[in-house]
Amino acid sequence: MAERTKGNDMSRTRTSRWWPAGLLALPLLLIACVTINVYFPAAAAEKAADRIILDVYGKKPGQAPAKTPESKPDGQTSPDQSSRLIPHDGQHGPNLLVRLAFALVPPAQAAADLSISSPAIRSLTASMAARQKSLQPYFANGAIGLTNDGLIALRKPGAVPLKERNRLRKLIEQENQDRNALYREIARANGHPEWEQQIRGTFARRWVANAPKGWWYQDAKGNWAQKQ
Amino acid sequence: MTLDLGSLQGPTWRAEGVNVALRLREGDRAKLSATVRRLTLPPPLGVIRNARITCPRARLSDTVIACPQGTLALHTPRLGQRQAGLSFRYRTTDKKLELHVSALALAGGRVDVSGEYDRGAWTARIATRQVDGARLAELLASLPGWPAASSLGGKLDLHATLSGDVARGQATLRSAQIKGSVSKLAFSSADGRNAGEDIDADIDARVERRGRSWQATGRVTTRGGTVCIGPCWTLPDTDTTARLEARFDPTSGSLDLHPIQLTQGQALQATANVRLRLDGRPRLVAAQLELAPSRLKAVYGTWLQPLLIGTPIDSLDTAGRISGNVDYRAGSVQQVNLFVDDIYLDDRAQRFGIYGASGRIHWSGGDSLRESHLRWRGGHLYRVRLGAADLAFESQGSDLRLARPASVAILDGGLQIDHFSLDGIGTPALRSSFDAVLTPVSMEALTHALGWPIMSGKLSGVIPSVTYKGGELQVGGVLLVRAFDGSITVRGLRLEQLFGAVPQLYADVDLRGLDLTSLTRTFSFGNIQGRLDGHVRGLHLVDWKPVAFDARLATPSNDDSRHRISQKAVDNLTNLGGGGITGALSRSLLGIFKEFSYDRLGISCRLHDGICDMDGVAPAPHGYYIVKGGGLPRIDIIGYAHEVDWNELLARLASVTAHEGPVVK
Repeated sequence: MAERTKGNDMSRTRTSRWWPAGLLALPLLLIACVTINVYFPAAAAEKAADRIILDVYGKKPGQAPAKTPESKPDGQTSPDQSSRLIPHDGQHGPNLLVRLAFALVPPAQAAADLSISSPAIRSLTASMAARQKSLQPYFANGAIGLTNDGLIALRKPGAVPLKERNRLRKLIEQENQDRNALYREIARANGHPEWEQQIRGTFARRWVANAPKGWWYQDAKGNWAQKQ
Repeated sequence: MTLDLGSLQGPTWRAEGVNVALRLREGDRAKLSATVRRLTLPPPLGVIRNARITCPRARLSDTVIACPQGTLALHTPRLGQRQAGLSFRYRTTDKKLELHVSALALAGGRVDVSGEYDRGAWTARIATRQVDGARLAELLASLPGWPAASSLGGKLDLHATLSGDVARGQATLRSAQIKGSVSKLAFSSADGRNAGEDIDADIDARVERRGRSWQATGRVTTRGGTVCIGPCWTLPDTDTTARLEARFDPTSGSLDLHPIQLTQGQALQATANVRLRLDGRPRLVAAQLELAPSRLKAVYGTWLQPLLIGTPIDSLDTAGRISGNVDYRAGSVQQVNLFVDDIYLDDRAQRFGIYGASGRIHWSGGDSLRESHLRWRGGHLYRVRLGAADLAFESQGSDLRLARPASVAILDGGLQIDHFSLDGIGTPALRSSFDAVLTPVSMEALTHALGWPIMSGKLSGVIPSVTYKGGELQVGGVLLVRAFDGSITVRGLRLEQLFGAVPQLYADVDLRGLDLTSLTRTFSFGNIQGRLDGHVRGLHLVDWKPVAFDARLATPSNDDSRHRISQKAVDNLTNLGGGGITGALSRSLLGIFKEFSYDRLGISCRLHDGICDMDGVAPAPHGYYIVKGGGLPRIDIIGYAHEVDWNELLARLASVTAHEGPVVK
């Protein structure tokens, strides 16, 4: 619940930030071509990244696990005036009227700042979370590490038994395909494909920030370091 | 007689405390013993302490000094105290020397060493028995050039013979031969990238100098084990033999491997000729590979699969036979010829398969035109079954095209391919174009294959131009689906990242004159009679799930068919609206009538951001009509919500069609 409130705050902040820009743009449009820059929502991206990353790492943030708005129980989305069947005493005999309200959209979701609820993002997250169990021991013994471009890489082949190496190579390939698709998809689902690199950068930092102690990661220069 | 010789010294060695004792017996027999307190040898041999040679049956004559059954004892810091058998024979006339050290305990096994020097030529033989690789590696770790932090394991039974010359006090190597077997061999480079384990192998190799160049012949037969050079190969448990002849010219830096032969029982036989330049950065100059008719299972499963990890063809079940050759020269592949005989390729992820394929594929670089031919008995793409096909291709440079029209059976219909081309093969600018006619495929067969609700009707279409470029597939024509007694046309079909993690599909769909009776029966929605027109514009599927579209479905304005809606359909519609308690209310009232009459029905949904902006056929007070009543008995269904959660709607639709809705009595 606390999260949703924050989401509302965020959307309000955004609206108030954009209003003056819109007001300014209106007269300007009359006299010249205007480019309206939409700034990358860094804080929202970080929050979105954390929710996905904690899902993948299989951790619970704070007290409550991160939930997508759709997964709320029915009661919340269906308002009380949902469906009613009301007899209508018309002049032409039996006449029935069915009122349908369908499921109303909670306003918080409609105005989410950086959406991570598209089917593709959820299926990528689920696929990565399922793979995480297999990758975890290799992260723990330093065989693989988190790269500075938001992917994973083999850093110490000697730590992997020979019989497991091809399987690990495949896991790394699949994980990186999923991660690349995830960054592209978040940018696309939010209507800003050009944000892909910034989203990747945000994720690269958050994968490390949320990782347990002892895992290896690449610093900005590409050198491997162990998380303290 | 005892001689205290004090210290002796050579250019690379120094002996201190040298003492020789000699006791003469009858004739030329004698007992000889010699001790050296400290012998300093060049690394890696290092310092040997208290070396003692004892020859109880030495022979001393004018021409020969011999020690047939002596012993050697010594102490080195690394080996500790060691004893071994020793025999030698030295002829003073021509300085011929023969020396044998036998049964020297080393690294858990035994080592025999013998040497011979005769008129400027030397030979050394080293034989190991059950020498432990790991302990040997510890001993060798101080050798110059021995890779640091690398590891070795296993048991070594090897005979090595080295021979060479001594000229101007300098010993040179002329030839070396190594023969024997290793068991449970394991090795690893310092970074662990290149490694092997559990390798049982027989080795027979010989290197010799011919003038200024070196020539080598070798044979290695392995039985099981794993070798990694980046990717890992699991070696077959049956005998796999590699034979090699090589020639290295140090002045030009040219290394010829001519030939390399690989034989894996009856399953695989391949020969390669390779020329490398090793001056500067090693590079491949030319290579020819010839694969004799071999089992695809061995070629792919053992050798190719590890190189394909991460590609869509890294987990195939294979069968059949393959042969061919590849010619590489001047920095590019010049020619490829492949012959396949009754091969099967089946993706373990069940995305595609080709069965019983035979044919020949020819390709040449440059401008020469080559013809290829491929036919198969069947296959599948995802769960759609493909029939037999017979295809003739022409290739020219990096372009490939279908030489004559062909057809592929798809379920009970078929694809008549008039044109197919693939341009820029092996370049990032790979493009494909495709013209075809899809002859009717029954929707029963297609929906069954796809695991969808069974639909009746036919799918057909003219596909005038399909283009593929950069992972994007674009269909130029119109796909026509004849289903539900009406027609569904699909235009502007575009697929992105088709084999990627998140495939994307874009299309515009138009629906004309669909019969609601068969539509509602198919989806077990409860009977609705009438016709339906509509469109789905800007359809965008991500990972095959809709994320955006602008859809509108409604009764056509000129529709004169019977318009009825059953109580079950009404109840399902109300359930879609999220009604729980309505069932009880509806039962009593709806129970009177089995079905109702309507004038028009329709619904529109503009999907964006997980929200469906909903509307109906006509505005109603505070809402919109989804069903506008007319005739008797009459029913109106009015929707009020204009923004509907798409996932919620889908979940309810799924539960309604799955459970066939509540039954109204």
